[in-house]
Amino acid sequence: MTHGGLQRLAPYGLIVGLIAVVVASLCIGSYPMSFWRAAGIAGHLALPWSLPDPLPWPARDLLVVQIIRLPRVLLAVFVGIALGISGTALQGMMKNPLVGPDLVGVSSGAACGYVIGVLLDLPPGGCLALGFAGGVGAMVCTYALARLAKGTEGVGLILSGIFISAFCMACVGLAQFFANDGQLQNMTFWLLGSLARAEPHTVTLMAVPVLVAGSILMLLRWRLNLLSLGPLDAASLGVRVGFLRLLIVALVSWMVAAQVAASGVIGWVGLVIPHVARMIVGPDHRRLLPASAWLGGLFVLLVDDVTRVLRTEIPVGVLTSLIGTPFLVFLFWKRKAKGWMND
Amino acid sequence: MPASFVRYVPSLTRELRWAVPLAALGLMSLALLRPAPVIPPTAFAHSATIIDSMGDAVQVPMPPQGVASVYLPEYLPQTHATALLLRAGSAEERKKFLAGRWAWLFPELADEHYWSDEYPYPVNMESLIAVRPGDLHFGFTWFQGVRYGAAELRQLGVTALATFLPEKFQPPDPPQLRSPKIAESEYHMFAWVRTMNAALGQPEFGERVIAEYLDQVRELHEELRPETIPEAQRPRVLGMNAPIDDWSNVSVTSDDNERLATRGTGRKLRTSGRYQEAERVLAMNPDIIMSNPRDLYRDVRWRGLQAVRERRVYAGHADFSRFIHDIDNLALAARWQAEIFHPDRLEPTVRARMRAYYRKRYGIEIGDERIDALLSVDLNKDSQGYARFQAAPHP
Repeated sequence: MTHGGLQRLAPYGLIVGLIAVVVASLCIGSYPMSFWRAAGIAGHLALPWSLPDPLPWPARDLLVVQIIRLPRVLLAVFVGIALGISGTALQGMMKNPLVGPDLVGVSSGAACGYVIGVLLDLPPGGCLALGFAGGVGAMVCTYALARLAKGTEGVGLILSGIFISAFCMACVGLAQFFANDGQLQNMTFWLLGSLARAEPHTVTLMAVPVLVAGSILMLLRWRLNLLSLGPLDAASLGVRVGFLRLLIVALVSWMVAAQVAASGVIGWVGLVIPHVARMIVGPDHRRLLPASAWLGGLFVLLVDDVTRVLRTEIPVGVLTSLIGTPFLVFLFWKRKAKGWMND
Repeated sequence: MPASFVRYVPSLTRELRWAVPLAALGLMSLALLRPAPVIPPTAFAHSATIIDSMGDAVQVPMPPQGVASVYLPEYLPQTHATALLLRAGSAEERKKFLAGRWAWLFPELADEHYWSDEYPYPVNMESLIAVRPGDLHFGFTWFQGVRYGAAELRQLGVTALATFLPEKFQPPDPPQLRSPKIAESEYHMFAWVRTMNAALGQPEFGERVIAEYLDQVRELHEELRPETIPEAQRPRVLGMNAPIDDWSNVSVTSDDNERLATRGTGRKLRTSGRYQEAERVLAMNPDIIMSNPRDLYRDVRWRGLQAVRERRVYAGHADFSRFIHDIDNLALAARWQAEIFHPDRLEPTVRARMRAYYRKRYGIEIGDERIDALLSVDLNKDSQGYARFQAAPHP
């Protein structure tokens, strides 16, 4: 098969792989369950009609899949998809392969909102809401600052993001300083990034932005190709560059704010996954964006499976950084030799 | 359908291929909105109905099969049920647990089968569900910062019993002690003792443990008569936790204690459980500090404290004074502290009381060496008046 043929088929392979890993993940855990039983239960749950009566499986099996494993698996997939799409969209929009979704300040803003919620002893739902509001608020501040500096293009936006990020992280540090032992433990665990607290409402918080904003970004992937040519070329081809950039940043921020609120700070996925996807399907965003989404979901789910198998609940954010950093260093070293720095 | 639209169907289908997985994920997310399945209570061949501390009736197997999860240090002194400890905690935790006095109180735990990790401690909800349905789970549990109460655990098919009373509870017993008043935390502890022992089929043992505890409290009260000690004569006591060498970050605890007739030192400060700058501790200037005396005497920065200058810093052994629900130790530790705080009113009898207590409750004779260890005699030897707590020299 030709290289082009492989590139066309790769997204299908990733979808099949993602489905297989989703079902396999439903079998992983301390409670023993076969692949086919997990697949059967998941299939019945996904169909829009009521479950068979009497149940063909023990109620305990259904409970384990529906209440414990499915929320976590879905959250992992949604988190991965959100980060994969966000990273790819931002890298394409800014023509910069070292841009990640956390650079526009959203992650730090969401982190700031969440830890303030913990400090105020808000219930989990309140902390989530404050985290989400913090992420969106940080994005608004970043964009407003970039506009003030007349630099909403590329570097200006990133610099604004870095400033807002630094401010938000200072607030996080202050909140940690004032926290008592219990609050501090809660904050630290959450800031490390974990999917262990997946519950139906956290999945809903993630699902809505990923399904809505993710779909809009997928529809915009043709325009992303034009945008990656540069603002002048894109404008000459009829693209409203300013509006498109604002729209992309807003959609990415929505997803990332929800991701950080739901699962804490999970770094490097949004930076590394687009590179891997580009190696598999090439730079064309028509294929790159879906491939990044499925690959992101697959990656975060596999990493989370590892933490579940280890039974020690290492935070996912720690593992993704442990895996992502060496990979990016390797990529940086290899690509530099080919003149990546001059791209 | 207009022909112009049909012409675009193949390309539209290609364009929207990405939507299929997203739609599937959306459908699966909707599955989470279904009502949770109801797990019927496990039917045991022989069972008993236990009313737990929250007033819920729970079916438990009789005789008990095992304990799936429990706060280890507080379980044994309340139940003496060593055989069931096999299922409580991981091998590593049991090893740590046996490092202290439990090693000599329960020598049978040295048996190798207690080191097996056949029944690992549940680390998440799923591993808790995976334990045998007959294994008991006492109290609430925390997984990744999320609290699960006994009622929630029962909905997931775990045989769980609440051990704490509801937040606004009516004292479950007629007050056995008019004076001193029984504290709210003690009612919780009694509920804990009662629930555990009832579930293990030995309710009378639990009642005996509580009665002995109340006897000791009453006896201390009658000897100390705290109501006759005026406010000004009550020592101001501060608890300081490690690390005290970190000058900027000292964890302190200080509250009024009517039973021990002591005053707190930081009434205007939010002290309990908070980290404080050392200067605030200097400003509190307590009469007595409960902490490691060696650390405080050695560090010149603490010499501004009156308690340090007068060498009134005392350490309690972790085995003796740390656990809030260790009913074995609470009364004895209170006696020990009262004897330190009020040497003018109380004779140092804690050594003899310890010896008598362990003889009665555990049927063992503990020697001077073990009592010295529990009272931290070596650590406190430079502190004011601690010679009173040393063993009498043998003739």
